[in-house]
Amino acid sequence: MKYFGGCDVGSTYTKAVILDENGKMVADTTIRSKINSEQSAIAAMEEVCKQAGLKDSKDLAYLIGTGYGRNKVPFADENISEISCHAMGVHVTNPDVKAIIDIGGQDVKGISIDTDGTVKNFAMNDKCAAGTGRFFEAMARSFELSLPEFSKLSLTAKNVIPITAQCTVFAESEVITLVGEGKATDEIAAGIEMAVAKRCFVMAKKAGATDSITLTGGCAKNDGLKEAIEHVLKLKVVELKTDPQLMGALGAAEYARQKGMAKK
Amino acid sequence: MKKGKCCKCSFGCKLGRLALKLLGLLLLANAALFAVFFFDLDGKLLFNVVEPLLKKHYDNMDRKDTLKSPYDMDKYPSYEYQV
Amino acid sequence: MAKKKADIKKLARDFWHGKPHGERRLGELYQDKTGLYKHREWRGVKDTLYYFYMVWLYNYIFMVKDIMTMGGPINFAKGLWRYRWVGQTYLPVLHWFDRGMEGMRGEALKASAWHYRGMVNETIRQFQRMFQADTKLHGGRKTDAWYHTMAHNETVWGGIFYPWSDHFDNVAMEMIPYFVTCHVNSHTVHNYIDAVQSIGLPGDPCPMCQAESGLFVLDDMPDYAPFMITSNEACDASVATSILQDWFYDKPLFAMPQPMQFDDPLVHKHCRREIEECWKFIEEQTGVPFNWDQLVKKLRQQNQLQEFEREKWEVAGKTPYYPVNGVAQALYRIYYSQDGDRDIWHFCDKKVRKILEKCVSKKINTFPKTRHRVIAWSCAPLYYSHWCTWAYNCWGLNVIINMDSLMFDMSIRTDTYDHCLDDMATYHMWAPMRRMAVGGMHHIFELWEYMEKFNCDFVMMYDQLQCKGMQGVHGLFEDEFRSRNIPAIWMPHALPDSRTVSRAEIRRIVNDYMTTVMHEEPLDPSLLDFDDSMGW
Repeated sequence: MKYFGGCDVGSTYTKAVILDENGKMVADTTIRSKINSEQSAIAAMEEVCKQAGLKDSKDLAYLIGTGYGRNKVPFADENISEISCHAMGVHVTNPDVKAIIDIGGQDVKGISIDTDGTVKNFAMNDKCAAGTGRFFEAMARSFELSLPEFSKLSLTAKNVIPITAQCTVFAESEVITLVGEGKATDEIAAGIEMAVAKRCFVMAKKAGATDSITLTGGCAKNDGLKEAIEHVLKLKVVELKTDPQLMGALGAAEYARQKGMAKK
Repeated sequence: MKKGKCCKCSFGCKLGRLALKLLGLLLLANAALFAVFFFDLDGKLLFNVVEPLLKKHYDNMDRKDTLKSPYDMDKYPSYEYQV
Repeated sequence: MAKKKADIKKLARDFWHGKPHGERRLGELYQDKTGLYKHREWRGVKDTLYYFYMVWLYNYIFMVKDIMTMGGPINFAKGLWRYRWVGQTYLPVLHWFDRGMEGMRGEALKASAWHYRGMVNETIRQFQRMFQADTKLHGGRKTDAWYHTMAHNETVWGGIFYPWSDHFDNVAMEMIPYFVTCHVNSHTVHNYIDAVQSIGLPGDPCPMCQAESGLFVLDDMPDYAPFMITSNEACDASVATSILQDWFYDKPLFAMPQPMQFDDPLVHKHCRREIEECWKFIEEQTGVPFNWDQLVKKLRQQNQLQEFEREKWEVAGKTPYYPVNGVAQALYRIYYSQDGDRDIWHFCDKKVRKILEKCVSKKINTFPKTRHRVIAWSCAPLYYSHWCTWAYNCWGLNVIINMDSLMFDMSIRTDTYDHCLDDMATYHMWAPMRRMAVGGMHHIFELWEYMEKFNCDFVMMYDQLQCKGMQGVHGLFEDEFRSRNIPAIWMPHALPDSRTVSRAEIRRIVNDYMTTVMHEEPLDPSLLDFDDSMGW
């Protein structure tokens, strides 16, 4: 049996996936990214190879690197953009989904998927932290909560207090002011989710997403955000069967499988 | 050999030698210029030597403080014309 | 043995003809970071010798000749020593040729190089005139040239000054110290942007206006004329520039501001009156009356340039034989359209006409690796105007036409004063960037008609990050691209400031789109990623 690997080196988390010849996921891992992308990739690949019963990544028939640090994945046969990999990852998980909003640690992307899992169009905001994982980390920190606790809090709100600041730095100041004024924290949290949802809506629209949509990236696990996006987009957000944070690595592994099998 | 023929030949030889020397110099100059062109020596000289020197000069120049000049909006008329 | 023979044959072929496109690996010629070449490109014997003699040597020799005959070497030396924008920019001008002509061969190389030659000659003429007239270079003395020169904003069309062109010369204040420097050495302008921000101007207004004002803040503007004419073009940010220029330059000033939405017939009437008032101002300042015959003569000459431009567009739109590359087309056109009629434009057009006729008659496919015919819309990054050359070499993206070229598509009537003034008012209103970038939605949407006219299948949307004008219609364009199924790349940039979005970032954005959305492989992978951060 041949095995194929995908490694997605992100700014916050590094993910790795191994598939067998039939496309079945045999191993996966998600670790916190180190400051050195190469070390992150090595650590993730070591972990995932161990899970799959392989000695190291040289035993893989084909390995593809993706993500922010994709050029640093050692022994990678090639690297492919994370946009393409996310699209392919979602396509193999749920072929009916035609659009993705990927909210990563440092960027937000809207991706429109073609019928074969390739990218039809995309829009990306990688210049500004507003609406990214960093933004949520900063907001949760203001509330002195963990990210899952923050998400749960926003779901309990009956009203939404809008956050008007466009910038993460100013939004943090605005939140602190609102908390200081004694405003309900669940309503503030709901306002933060709504602010991010509006940004995602813009990305999705730019990418031409009008059909079924899903979320990928770490922020996809934020149920409060999911609800806010459904409210803004007026579309049901399809939940993926596999961990949404793994989509990039899964897509990379699937590309590796297709290229590796074609190499015969 | 007749005297007249000898003088003509000598002059022609001198001219020929001069022409060859000039051609040689021209070819040498051509080759040198081509070397400068092909190995981007003009760019390298400008980038590594000339520009840094000039930049240092511009950075250290005494400049008039233009902010000190008064802004007198009434100094000149408003230039309105009947057309 | 057979393989060795084949290798030698290939070597000989590559030496004689130059390597085929896919094997050139142009990215490997660069010295890391500097953008200098390990060695210049070998384009085959014929084209390399042409480039050596007729581009490199010819331009060096004629630049020296131009300096000698237009103002002299002493004025040039004084100007070079005094003004950063000369010494830091214009000495490495042949490298600007190199960047624009990378990978080019044959007739495309020749025609594009002639356009560049025209721009170089006119640039030298303008700065030599500035130096001849500059009181700062002549110990405060006002020379005869000073009294016979007229200063104006670069967005004021040179045609306004035609009636005095037999006795006076007009030189734009910012064209040479700012606009052209950004293309030749992208680092010079940073000094001026930083200077104006150091006196309190925030960083987010248009960097064109910032840089233009910064020249005055740093006292790097020659004092070469007794009066000046300003305008609010391309947009009202220029008014801020004009105010600072008024303060620091301290001269009689005539302002020509007009409303941005210029389709209103009342605006046209206002613009007519503004031009006539400007003429009255010039008469008053110079003591020389308006000369109708001189105006007509120059306008007819300008109309010839426009007629040839239309012939070029016929070829560009309908055939693959157009020999002018994207960067030469854009820069030459905007230069002569704004600057006005000069002898050099006619000289260059004559040369290019011959080449164009040859290409059409012999059906020479000048850009054979074209995969997509691109139209570039909105204002281009000045510090990466040669991105088109890179895009063709790397991805086969051939920029056929661009917005700046299409802006001045009119001939000016000279039958009566009234018709002439009407047309001049329209031409003046169609300032760079105004008509199709900020002048109203239906002008901006002329993009679709031009795509059809020039048979383009791809759009490069320049996205000037600090231009508030275009940001308002960004979403409209996106909707139209989707509904018309047009592939379009948004290229963010900050006009003259390469620090905000670097050239490498621009390349990355194009590369991402071409691989991810278009699913294409590069023609020359060595051009995908390289460091030219310190390069000119």
